[in-house]
Amino acid sequence: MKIYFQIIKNTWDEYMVYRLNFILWRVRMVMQILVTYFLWWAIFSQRELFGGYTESMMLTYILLSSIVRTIVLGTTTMEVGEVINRGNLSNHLVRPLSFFSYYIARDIGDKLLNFMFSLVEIGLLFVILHPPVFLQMQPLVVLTAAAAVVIGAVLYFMFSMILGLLGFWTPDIWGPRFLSFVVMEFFAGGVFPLDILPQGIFLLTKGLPFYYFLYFPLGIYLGKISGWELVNGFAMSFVWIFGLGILLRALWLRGLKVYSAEGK
Amino acid sequence: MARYIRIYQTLLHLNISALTAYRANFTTNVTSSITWALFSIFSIVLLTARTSEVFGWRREEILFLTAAYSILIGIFHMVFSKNFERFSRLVYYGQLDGILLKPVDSQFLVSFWLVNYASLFRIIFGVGFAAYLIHQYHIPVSPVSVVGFIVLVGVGLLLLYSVWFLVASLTIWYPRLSNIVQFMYSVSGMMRYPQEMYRQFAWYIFLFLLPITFIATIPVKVLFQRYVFVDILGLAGFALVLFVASRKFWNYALRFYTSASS
Repeated sequence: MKIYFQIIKNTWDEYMVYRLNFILWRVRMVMQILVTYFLWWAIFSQRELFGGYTESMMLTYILLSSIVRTIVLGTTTMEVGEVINRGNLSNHLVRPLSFFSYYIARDIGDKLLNFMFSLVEIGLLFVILHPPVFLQMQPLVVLTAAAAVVIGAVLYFMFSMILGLLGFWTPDIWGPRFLSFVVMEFFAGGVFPLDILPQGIFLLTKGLPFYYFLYFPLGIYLGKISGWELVNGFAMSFVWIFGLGILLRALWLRGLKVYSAEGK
Repeated sequence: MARYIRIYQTLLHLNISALTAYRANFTTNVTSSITWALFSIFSIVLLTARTSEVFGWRREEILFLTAAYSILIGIFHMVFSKNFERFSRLVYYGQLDGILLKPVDSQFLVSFWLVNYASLFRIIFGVGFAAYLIHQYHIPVSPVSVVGFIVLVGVGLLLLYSVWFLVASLTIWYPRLSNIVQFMYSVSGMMRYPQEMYRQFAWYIFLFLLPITFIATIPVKVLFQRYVFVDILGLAGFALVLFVASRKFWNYALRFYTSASS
């Protein structure tokens, strides 16, 4: 266990060496929240309901999504493709620690640091903007939403790692990653809640893994997903974890066979 | 000037050669670029579907702003983005030496070396969407307003470039500041919403964002003939002042370039 704490600490130390870089990243996130916040604020200044959402529910969705984002989408696996392409994977293969365990620990470090910063930022925005927010009073619902966040984080880790492992076969992984980022941002509910989309598209999003990254936990918190839909959602997310797990393992084993430690 | 045009023509040819060498990369870039444009248009269509007016902007005006943003950012990505992405690399690995030794203006070379042809499709997409909106909403455009729009898009690009260059010059002191590009992408993304929206921000944030908020909104206002002269003056003034500032700042920053790693 000690070794994992050390990896988390190393990740933090790394970020603190490039403090200005990290601060810029956080400023960027705050600016994005502010833009989305004021856009919705303007829309709700003319109407009370939008796609079944009240102003407080929508603003809660926006603000809460920035916190959930740090836990689910915060990752260091972005570097995996480059680690393979530069032959640095060899260093990992000779260590008495699994490559995946290393990145899980590193991701926990990344998520914790970003989570703490996002809590402070959202706290400050609350103090400055006094937004109307929706408070979920049922502890069980909050706990279920928290469980969905953990599932989302597991799914995203697998998804991002699969993209990184493409580095075994091609040096051009930036393209697929950027494309997946564009698609994911939309279908995960990063721009707006998915249930305001036309019914046909909304049903399509339910069949994708991205649905479980942001919209699923936030929908549970806001009381939009409950009963059978909730059970079905959890069942589907486990199916995705199982499916992506098999794919990840297959890619890793096949990738190791073609890995030539190029660049080392 | 003619010499620089010839150099740029050579660079365009060299970049086409690079494009043909990495065809798969180009295909993915084109797909990403069009997908991004599609999603941003779809998002704004959806958001404005049940709203007739936001911050004093009618629905068709906001949609046109999205089209104008696509054109502007498409040109910017095609000509400049990749160059700014390699900025910190040039400084960190000391590769700037090679550029400084050439008998050509260094700001020109670091700004125009790479061309991203994939973004051309985003520009075409934006122009197509703009034409569709003009036809669909019977937007009354005159030759003068179209010329005004095109000229101001050019001025807006100069302003956007100058802001990016000013900020990117900081990498001379902080070569590992790679997030600065991501940060600037977010800042640039702000120009796709009406300027009036940013008045809701605290005054100091609004003041900081003011030049950016001019870039896309003023050309659109000119096309819709609802501008005031001060708006155009503001855009042109910011573009000129910031361009001069970017050149001065670059020359000042170069004094601190240590050529480490070279």
